[in-house]
Amino acid sequence: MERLLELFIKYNNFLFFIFLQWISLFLVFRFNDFHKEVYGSYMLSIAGFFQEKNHSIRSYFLLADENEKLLNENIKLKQELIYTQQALNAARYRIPYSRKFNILPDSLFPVSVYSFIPSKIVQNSIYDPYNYFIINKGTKDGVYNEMGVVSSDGVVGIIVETSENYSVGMSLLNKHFRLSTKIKSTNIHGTVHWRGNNPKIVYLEYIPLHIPIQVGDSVMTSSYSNYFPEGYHIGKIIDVKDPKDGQGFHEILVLLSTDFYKLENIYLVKNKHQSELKTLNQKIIQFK
Amino acid sequence: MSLRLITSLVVILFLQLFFFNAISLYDTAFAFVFVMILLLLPLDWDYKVLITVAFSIGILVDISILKLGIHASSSILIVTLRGFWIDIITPQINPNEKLNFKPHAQSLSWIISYFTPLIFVYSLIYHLLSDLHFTLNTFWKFFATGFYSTLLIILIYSLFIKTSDKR
Repeated sequence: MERLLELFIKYNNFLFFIFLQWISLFLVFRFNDFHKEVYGSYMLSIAGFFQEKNHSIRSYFLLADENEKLLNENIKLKQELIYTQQALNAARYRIPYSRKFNILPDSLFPVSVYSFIPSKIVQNSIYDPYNYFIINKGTKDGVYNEMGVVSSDGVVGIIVETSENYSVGMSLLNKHFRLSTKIKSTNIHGTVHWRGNNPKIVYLEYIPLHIPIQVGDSVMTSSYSNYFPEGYHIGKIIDVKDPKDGQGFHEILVLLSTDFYKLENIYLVKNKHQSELKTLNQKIIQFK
Repeated sequence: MSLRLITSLVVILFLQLFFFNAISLYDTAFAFVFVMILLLLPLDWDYKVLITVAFSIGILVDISILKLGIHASSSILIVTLRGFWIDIITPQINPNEKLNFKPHAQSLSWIISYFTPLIFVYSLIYHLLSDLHFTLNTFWKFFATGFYSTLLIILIYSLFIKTSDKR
């Protein structure tokens, strides 16, 4: 206290100067309209700045909840998208009928067979010839073998092994993995296959040479796949090479839309009719 | 401080309030003749008395132009700065002599070198505080006011103050 008093006495001239300056500036900003307005807007911007920072700090602590909400929202939107796509596909065949009777039949809006489970990748490899990943959902979350795995950008792989809390997926970047696809603009079906090397590029195989291919066309899942909904994005055609000797198919390079380097949030695709389709497929094998 | 000088300074203050405030040129060059009073206040006064007088003169001029606080703030700053400026332009005087140092007793050339920079600084502080930013327009006002006020102050000083003090 004494030292404080000493300081006040020592710097009394300076403190008096500050005091008179404060009175002057108070008068300036209190009694001049222009200065009052500038002061008001300046204070408002300072308050706004601090409020914004405060809000961003608070938001940071709520990120986990927000992320969860967004994932659930994404699932809802995905389901709606698939539902709409199916309705559109159905409408293509039903329109003559509806025109005739001037009604839209209920079957125009079929119930979607696909639903999604959000999950996270906890381990992933991309540099081996046979890549796998592990996700943080298992049998207790309703995960089973042969479920499709997608990200918000495109196809990721399929589940091949499950435990109670975790599951292993075969990555699209696995030489064993083959996926039935189609080219968006021509609807021509082919198979996507990764041949190793570049984790961004896959090959679209079995497209006959007489089919014209356009660089930039989208490649998506076809209706032949039991694991993924039809029309799910896989990538874009970036190059068409000369076919290998004696083969009647194009060598098509596809740039994957999924970035496997930073893959984190994924969705498991649940096909309600999968077991039914599997049984029928086994029957086909028996017929052969 | 002689009675003649005090009277002259009081007259200048009245002239500032009722005449010089009205003779600004194109709202760009203002006649801040009263700054001369601040610069001629005795150096031997106590600092607190000095800035209180400067503050009061500033407030009076502020009231006359209805811009409260701007001249008061600039006046306090300029009377604080003038001591440092005297030290720079008159390095030969020692601190003991400084209290008895009388600016109005110096030569006209010394007065010009004393007044001119401080009047320009006053003009700069005033216009910065008045506009709250520095644009080309602020620069012109600062320069024009500094030039106009310096001219008037030197003229009035050499015609009335210097001669009246000699008598």
